Amino acid sequence: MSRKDIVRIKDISKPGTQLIKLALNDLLTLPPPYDKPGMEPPMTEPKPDWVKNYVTELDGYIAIDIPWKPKSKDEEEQIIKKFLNGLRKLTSREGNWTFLLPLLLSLDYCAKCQNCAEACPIYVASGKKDVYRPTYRAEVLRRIYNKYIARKPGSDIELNIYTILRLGELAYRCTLCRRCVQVCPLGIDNGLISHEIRKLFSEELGIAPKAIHERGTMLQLKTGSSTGMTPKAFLNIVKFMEDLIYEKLGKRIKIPIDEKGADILLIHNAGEYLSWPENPAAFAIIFEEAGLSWTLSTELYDAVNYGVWYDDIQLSRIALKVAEVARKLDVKRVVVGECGHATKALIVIADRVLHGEFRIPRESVLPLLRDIVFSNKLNLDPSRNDFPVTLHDPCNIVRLSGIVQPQREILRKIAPLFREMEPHGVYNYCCGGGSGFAIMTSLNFPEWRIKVASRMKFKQILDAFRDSMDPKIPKYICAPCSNCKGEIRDVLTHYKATELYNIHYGGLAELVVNAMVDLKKPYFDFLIKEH
Amino acid sequence: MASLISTMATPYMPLVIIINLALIQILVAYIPFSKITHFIGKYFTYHKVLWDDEPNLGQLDGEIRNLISMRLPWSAPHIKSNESWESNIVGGAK
Repeated sequence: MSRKDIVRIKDISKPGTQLIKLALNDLLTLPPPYDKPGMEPPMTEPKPDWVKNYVTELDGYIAIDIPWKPKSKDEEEQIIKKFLNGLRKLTSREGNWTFLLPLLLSLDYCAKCQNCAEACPIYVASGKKDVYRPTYRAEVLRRIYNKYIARKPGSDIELNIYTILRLGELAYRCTLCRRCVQVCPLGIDNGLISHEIRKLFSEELGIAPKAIHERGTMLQLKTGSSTGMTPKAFLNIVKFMEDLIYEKLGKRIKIPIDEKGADILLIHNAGEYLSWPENPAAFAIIFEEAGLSWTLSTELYDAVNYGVWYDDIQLSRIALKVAEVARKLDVKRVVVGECGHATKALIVIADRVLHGEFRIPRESVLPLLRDIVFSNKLNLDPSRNDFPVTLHDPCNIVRLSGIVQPQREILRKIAPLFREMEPHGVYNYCCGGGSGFAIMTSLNFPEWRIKVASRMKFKQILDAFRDSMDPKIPKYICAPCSNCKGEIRDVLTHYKATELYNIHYGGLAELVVNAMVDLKKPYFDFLIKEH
Repeated sequence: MASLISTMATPYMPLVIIINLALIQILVAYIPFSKITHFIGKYFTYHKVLWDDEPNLGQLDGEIRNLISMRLPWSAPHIKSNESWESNIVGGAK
């Protein structure tokens, strides 16, 4: 790296245009066959008229797709004032009792050893651009805090409008995977700092990407789902799933809805119903075959809680809604389907909000699925899954909720050609769609998240299948998380990996059902096409 | 007893060792004023602070009740500013 490429902390305040420009040649080289020129679509420039409303001053990519750029000096001053007010609240017990202690300890001191940078898939995949170092945005916030709030001498930073504009965007160049935290010898949580910056922007300035706020949590609180799905539409999809099950299994299953007093209230990410109905249908088959007492709900058919990525108040509101519905249905426990962030939000984070009568038992579906598979209640034939399978570990389920082994035990039992990605388990790499990225599809942000944030994951996928890249061999990426699936879908499409190399993706429950002896034909469409 | 009393001179130490010992003493004296002391606290609290994942089986209910009764100072449009956390959470979005 030449000296002119080095971006210093104080450069974030530099007036002018883009701080860095990304080029395809700078990015991490992909393994064969994607190491050849022309295998990857080129990078594009931001449209000139975007600069009026959106922040292109960081790297030319736009995550915050609301027009929040100030139009006058007055507006600039207002934003700076609000930002400082927000920082005061963020570092106060009243405003941020939820994460205050780890935040203050993380802001206290960093040895700048850069262990975290080498662990960060975005920094490494970008060709080691300084602004993507986990320490970069953390140090910017630390210096602003020290200079303007704690009034400590010696903090070399200027808080101007460029600092705030770029910092707002920079909070959305981290997937909150918290891989960096694991390698920090001082226990500094740079992932949390990204999260806290997002909170400051949302909770004080009302600024957040549309997909997670306006069309995310706000829509969910208003209509019941971030997809906008109504209870009537949900019931239609359930009917469709029953028909799908009949087609695949040759027998009719009545999916239980709003069954009072059931043992389990199963909640899925509503994206499953719309994009991958075969996943909730697979759970219906498995639960019915296992003879469980369970139900879906017309009041709660979307498990998502985007608040976990950017806003504690929105997170708490949605978590409480889940507990209210569970109480109303008088179920014994809430089980979260294959959705990473919903699992962490409801099981881990909401545990600091739900109390008293709302403290209903909540768990991930993966240990339950393992118990069912190992109970031998399903008649399984692993040879039906005789194609290479690899497992993507969703960060929120594995590293951040501690559910590591159940999914592997299932795969070892039902998929004879299962192979791990390297590294895996709690040392996994994020799919690149974490923290809301997978659903942020406006302007040019998808290009950045696929090419940079997902690059390491795509490399891992290619490495895992390097012995079977022959297009005649179907390959399956098992990703037990809706957002991860969405991201992997976009990655495979971008690189034409399904079309060229027969690489497919899906959840875990589908793979279990595909191994069921009772199935008349393969559960996966790509296997039907193969035959 | 007499053998415990010695009139021997201080044993000879090479200059390098003396410098080393002096540097170690300076380091030990400096530690209380440095960030290194954080390690002592962090050794015992690392996981508690970082992950804070002790399940709430009811033992935290009282503390949570106190915390959500606090005033919510944030002022974004979707927040009922200066009302309590509880009224913000229970009442839903503004």
